[in-house]
Amino acid sequence: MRPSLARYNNLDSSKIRADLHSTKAFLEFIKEYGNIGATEAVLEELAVKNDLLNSVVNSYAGTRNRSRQRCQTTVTSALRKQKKALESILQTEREIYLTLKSRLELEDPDEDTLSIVEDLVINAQSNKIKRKNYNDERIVSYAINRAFLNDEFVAIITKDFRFKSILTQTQRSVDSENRFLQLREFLQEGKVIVIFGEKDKFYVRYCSGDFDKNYQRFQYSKY
Amino acid sequence: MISYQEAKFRSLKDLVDDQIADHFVIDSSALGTHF
Repeated sequence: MRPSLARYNNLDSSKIRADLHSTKAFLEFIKEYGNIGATEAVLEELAVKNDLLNSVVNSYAGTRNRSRQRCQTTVTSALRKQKKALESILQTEREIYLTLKSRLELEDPDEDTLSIVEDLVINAQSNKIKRKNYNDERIVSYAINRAFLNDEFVAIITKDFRFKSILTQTQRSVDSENRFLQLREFLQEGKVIVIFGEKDKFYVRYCSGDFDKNYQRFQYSKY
Repeated sequence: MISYQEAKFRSLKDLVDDQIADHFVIDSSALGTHF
Protein backbone atom coordinates (compact mmCIF):
# COMPACT_ATOMS: atom_id res chain seq x y z
CA MET A 1 0.00 0.00 0.00
CA ARG A 2 1.47 3.37 -1.01
CA PRO A 3 0.93 6.31 1.36
CA SER A 4 1.51 8.76 -1.50
CA LEU A 5 -1.58 7.39 -3.24
CA ALA A 6 -3.57 7.23 -0.01
CA ARG A 7 -2.88 10.94 0.52
CA TYR A 8 -5.04 11.72 -2.50
CA ASN A 9 -7.71 9.11 -1.76
CA ASN A 10 -6.46 7.27 -4.78
CA LEU A 11 -6.13 3.68 -3.62
CA ASP A 12 -7.35 0.88 -5.85
CA SER A 13 -10.49 -0.76 -4.39
CA SER A 14 -9.59 -4.21 -5.73
CA LYS A 15 -6.09 -3.91 -4.22
CA ILE A 16 -7.57 -2.96 -0.84
CA ARG A 17 -9.93 -5.95 -0.99
CA ALA A 18 -7.05 -8.28 -1.92
CA ASP A 19 -4.93 -6.90 0.93
CA LEU A 20 -7.79 -7.36 3.39
CA HIS A 21 -8.30 -10.93 2.20
CA SER A 22 -4.59 -11.84 2.44
CA THR A 23 -4.18 -10.16 5.84
CA LYS A 24 -7.14 -12.05 7.30
CA ALA A 25 -5.93 -15.31 5.74
CA PHE A 26 -2.54 -14.73 7.29
CA LEU A 27 -4.00 -14.12 10.74
CA GLU A 28 -5.96 -17.38 10.49
CA PHE A 29 -2.81 -19.13 9.33
CA ILE A 30 -0.67 -18.09 12.31
CA LYS A 31 -3.52 -18.85 14.69
CA GLU A 32 -3.78 -22.33 13.22
CA TYR A 33 -0.07 -23.06 13.66
CA GLY A 34 1.32 -22.40 17.11
CA ASN A 35 4.89 -23.04 15.97
CA ILE A 36 5.07 -19.85 13.90
CA GLY A 37 6.67 -16.93 15.68
CA ALA A 38 8.59 -13.71 15.28
CA THR A 39 11.57 -11.99 16.82
CA GLU A 40 11.99 -8.62 18.54
CA ALA A 41 13.36 -7.20 15.28
CA VAL A 42 10.33 -8.39 13.32
CA LEU A 43 7.92 -6.97 15.90
CA GLU A 44 9.72 -3.61 15.79
CA GLU A 45 9.30 -3.48 12.01
CA LEU A 46 5.69 -4.58 12.26
CA ALA A 47 4.94 -1.82 14.79
CA VAL A 48 6.38 0.81 12.43
CA LYS A 49 4.31 -0.62 9.57
CA ASN A 50 1.14 -0.49 11.67
CA ASP A 51 1.83 3.13 12.67
CA LEU A 52 2.13 4.03 9.00
CA LEU A 53 -1.06 2.16 8.18
CA ASN A 54 -2.79 3.92 11.05
CA SER A 55 -1.87 7.33 9.64
CA VAL A 56 -3.15 6.28 6.22
CA VAL A 57 -6.46 5.11 7.68
CA ASN A 58 -6.88 8.28 9.75
CA SER A 59 -6.28 10.63 6.84
CA TYR A 60 -8.10 8.61 4.20
CA ALA A 61 -11.30 10.24 2.98
CA GLY A 62 -10.50 13.14 5.29
CA THR A 63 -11.85 16.68 5.02
CA ARG A 64 -8.93 17.93 2.96
CA ASN A 65 -9.56 15.66 0.03
CA ARG A 66 -13.33 15.46 -0.08
CA SER A 67 -15.00 16.31 -3.35
CA ARG A 68 -17.24 19.36 -3.56
CA GLN A 69 -20.81 18.95 -4.67
CA ARG A 70 -23.56 21.55 -4.38
CA CYS A 71 -21.31 23.70 -2.21
CA GLN A 72 -20.99 20.91 0.35
CA THR A 73 -18.13 18.62 1.12
CA THR A 74 -19.08 14.99 0.67
CA VAL A 75 -17.50 11.58 0.92
CA THR A 76 -18.59 9.17 -1.74
CA SER A 77 -19.98 5.78 -0.84
CA ALA A 78 -17.01 4.12 -2.54
CA LEU A 79 -14.56 6.07 -0.39
CA ARG A 80 -16.47 5.18 2.78
CA LYS A 81 -16.25 1.49 1.86
CA GLN A 82 -12.54 1.79 1.16
CA LYS A 83 -11.94 3.48 4.50
CA LYS A 84 -13.87 0.77 6.30
CA ALA A 85 -11.80 -1.92 4.57
CA LEU A 86 -8.60 -0.08 5.50
CA GLU A 87 -9.73 0.03 9.12
CA SER A 88 -10.34 -3.70 8.98
CA ILE A 89 -6.84 -4.31 7.57
CA LEU A 90 -5.35 -2.23 10.37
CA GLN A 91 -7.31 -4.12 13.02
CA THR A 92 -6.19 -7.45 11.55
CA GLU A 93 -2.56 -6.34 11.35
CA ARG A 94 -2.72 -5.30 15.01
CA GLU A 95 -4.10 -8.71 15.91
CA ILE A 96 -1.24 -10.38 14.00
CA TYR A 97 1.21 -8.20 15.93
CA LEU A 98 -0.35 -9.04 19.31
CA THR A 99 -0.50 -12.77 18.51
CA LEU A 100 3.18 -12.90 17.56
CA LYS A 101 4.17 -10.69 20.50
CA SER A 102 2.38 -12.91 23.02
CA ARG A 103 4.14 -15.97 21.57
CA LEU A 104 7.54 -14.33 21.86
CA GLU A 105 6.81 -13.31 25.45
CA LEU A 106 6.15 -16.95 26.33
CA GLU A 107 9.67 -17.91 25.24
CA ASP A 108 12.55 -18.00 27.63
CA PRO A 109 15.40 -16.61 25.55
CA ASP A 110 19.00 -16.93 26.62
CA GLU A 111 20.05 -13.33 26.00
CA ASP A 112 23.72 -14.09 26.68
CA THR A 113 24.08 -16.69 23.96
CA LEU A 114 21.88 -14.66 21.60
CA SER A 115 24.20 -11.70 21.98
CA ILE A 116 27.22 -13.88 21.17
CA VAL A 117 25.52 -15.32 18.08
CA GLU A 118 24.48 -11.82 16.94
CA ASP A 119 28.09 -10.63 17.11
CA LEU A 120 29.18 -13.71 15.20
CA VAL A 121 26.58 -13.29 12.45
CA ILE A 122 27.09 -9.53 12.01
CA ASN A 123 30.88 -9.81 11.94
CA ALA A 124 30.71 -12.67 9.46
CA GLN A 125 29.18 -10.53 6.74
CA SER A 126 31.59 -9.71 3.96
CA ASN A 127 29.73 -6.56 2.97
CA LYS A 128 30.81 -4.09 5.64
CA ILE A 129 28.65 -1.21 4.38
CA LYS A 130 27.07 0.44 7.41
CA ARG A 131 23.40 -0.52 7.45
CA LYS A 132 20.37 1.33 8.77
CA ASN A 133 19.90 -1.60 11.10
CA TYR A 134 20.94 -5.23 11.45
CA ASN A 135 17.45 -6.64 11.76
CA ASP A 136 17.97 -9.35 9.13
CA GLU A 137 21.17 -10.47 10.86
CA ARG A 138 19.32 -10.44 14.19
CA ILE A 139 16.62 -12.71 12.76
CA VAL A 140 19.20 -15.19 11.47
CA SER A 141 20.94 -15.03 14.87
CA TYR A 142 17.69 -15.78 16.64
CA ALA A 143 17.05 -18.78 14.36
CA ILE A 144 20.55 -20.19 14.91
CA ASN A 145 20.43 -19.59 18.66
CA ARG A 146 17.00 -21.11 19.08
CA ALA A 147 17.86 -24.14 16.95
CA PHE A 148 21.11 -24.70 18.81
CA LEU A 149 19.72 -24.31 22.34
CA ASN A 150 16.68 -26.50 21.71
CA ASP A 151 18.31 -28.90 19.25
CA GLU A 152 15.54 -28.30 16.75
CA PHE A 153 15.02 -27.35 13.12
CA VAL A 154 14.17 -23.68 12.63
CA ALA A 155 12.98 -22.19 9.33
CA ILE A 156 12.95 -18.49 8.43
CA ILE A 157 10.03 -17.45 6.19
CA THR A 158 10.92 -14.43 4.11
CA LYS A 159 10.64 -12.62 0.79
CA ASP A 160 14.08 -11.07 1.19
CA PHE A 161 17.03 -12.46 -0.76
CA ARG A 162 19.56 -11.47 1.92
CA PHE A 163 18.81 -14.27 4.36
CA LYS A 164 20.52 -17.01 2.40
CA SER A 165 23.59 -14.85 2.02
CA ILE A 166 23.66 -13.95 5.73
CA LEU A 167 23.42 -17.61 6.73
CA THR A 168 26.02 -18.88 4.26
CA GLN A 169 28.50 -16.18 5.21
CA THR A 170 27.99 -17.05 8.87
CA GLN A 171 28.72 -20.68 8.01
CA ARG A 172 31.85 -19.62 6.15
CA SER A 173 32.95 -17.79 9.26
CA VAL A 174 32.40 -20.69 11.68
CA ASP A 175 33.97 -23.03 9.15
CA SER A 176 37.33 -21.35 9.49
CA GLU A 177 37.55 -21.31 13.31
CA ASN A 178 37.91 -24.40 15.46
CA ARG A 179 36.30 -22.76 18.49
CA PHE A 180 33.01 -22.91 16.56
CA LEU A 181 33.36 -26.59 15.72
CA GLN A 182 30.19 -27.58 17.61
CA LEU A 183 28.09 -24.88 15.96
CA ARG A 184 29.59 -25.68 12.56
CA GLU A 185 28.64 -29.34 12.84
CA PHE A 186 25.21 -28.44 14.16
CA LEU A 187 24.49 -26.19 11.18
CA GLN A 188 25.83 -28.85 8.83
CA GLU A 189 23.03 -31.09 10.09
CA GLY A 190 20.62 -28.74 8.28
CA LYS A 191 19.07 -27.25 11.39
CA VAL A 192 18.47 -23.77 9.91
CA ILE A 193 16.38 -23.34 6.76
CA VAL A 194 15.40 -20.36 4.61
CA ILE A 195 11.92 -20.51 3.04
CA PHE A 196 11.62 -17.93 0.31
CA GLY A 197 8.43 -16.43 -1.15
CA GLU A 198 8.30 -15.64 -4.84
CA LYS A 199 5.35 -14.28 -6.77
CA ASP A 200 3.38 -17.51 -6.81
CA LYS A 201 5.00 -19.86 -4.30
CA PHE A 202 7.11 -20.40 -1.22
CA TYR A 203 9.94 -22.90 -1.40
CA VAL A 204 13.03 -23.99 0.53
CA ARG A 205 15.71 -21.70 -0.89
CA TYR A 206 18.48 -22.85 1.39
CA CYS A 207 19.21 -25.35 4.13
CA SER A 208 22.32 -25.01 6.28
CA GLY A 209 23.06 -28.68 5.57
CA ASP A 210 23.64 -27.75 1.92
CA PHE A 211 26.62 -25.59 2.79
CA ASP A 212 29.58 -26.27 0.58
CA LYS A 213 32.55 -24.23 1.68
CA ASN A 214 34.32 -24.54 -1.67
CA TYR A 215 31.24 -23.53 -3.62
CA GLN A 216 30.51 -20.65 -1.27
CA ARG A 217 34.06 -19.41 -1.43
CA PHE A 218 33.49 -18.88 -5.13
CA GLN A 219 29.88 -17.71 -5.02
CA TYR A 220 29.43 -15.44 -2.06
CA SER A 221 30.88 -12.35 -3.69
CA LYS A 222 27.78 -12.25 -5.93
CA TYR A 223 25.47 -11.26 -3.07
CA MET B 1 -9.27 -21.64 -10.50
CA ILE B 2 -7.20 -20.26 -7.64
CA SER B 3 -5.33 -16.99 -7.78
CA TYR B 4 -1.56 -16.88 -7.65
CA GLN B 5 -1.82 -15.44 -4.12
CA GLU B 6 -3.88 -18.38 -2.93
CA ALA B 7 -1.49 -20.80 -4.62
CA LYS B 8 1.40 -19.07 -2.92
CA PHE B 9 -0.32 -19.21 0.44
CA ARG B 10 -1.09 -22.89 -0.06
CA SER B 11 2.57 -23.61 -0.86
CA LEU B 12 3.57 -22.08 2.47
CA LYS B 13 0.93 -24.05 4.37
CA ASP B 14 2.18 -27.22 2.68
CA LEU B 15 5.72 -26.57 3.91
CA VAL B 16 4.50 -26.01 7.47
CA ASP B 17 2.21 -29.07 7.27
CA ASP B 18 5.14 -31.15 6.04
CA GLN B 19 6.94 -30.24 9.28
CA ILE B 20 10.18 -29.38 7.55
CA ALA B 21 11.03 -27.51 10.75
CA ASP B 22 10.03 -27.61 14.40
CA HIS B 23 9.68 -23.84 14.54
CA PHE B 24 9.10 -21.14 11.93
CA VAL B 25 10.29 -17.55 12.24
CA ILE B 26 8.45 -15.13 10.03
CA ASP B 27 10.21 -12.08 8.65
CA SER B 28 8.25 -8.83 8.29
CA SER B 29 8.72 -8.95 4.50
CA ALA B 30 6.47 -12.01 4.41
CA LEU B 31 3.84 -10.73 6.81
CA GLY B 32 0.22 -9.74 6.39
CA THR B 33 -0.82 -7.08 3.90
CA HIS B 34 2.13 -7.52 1.59
CA PHE B 35 1.80 -11.28 1.69
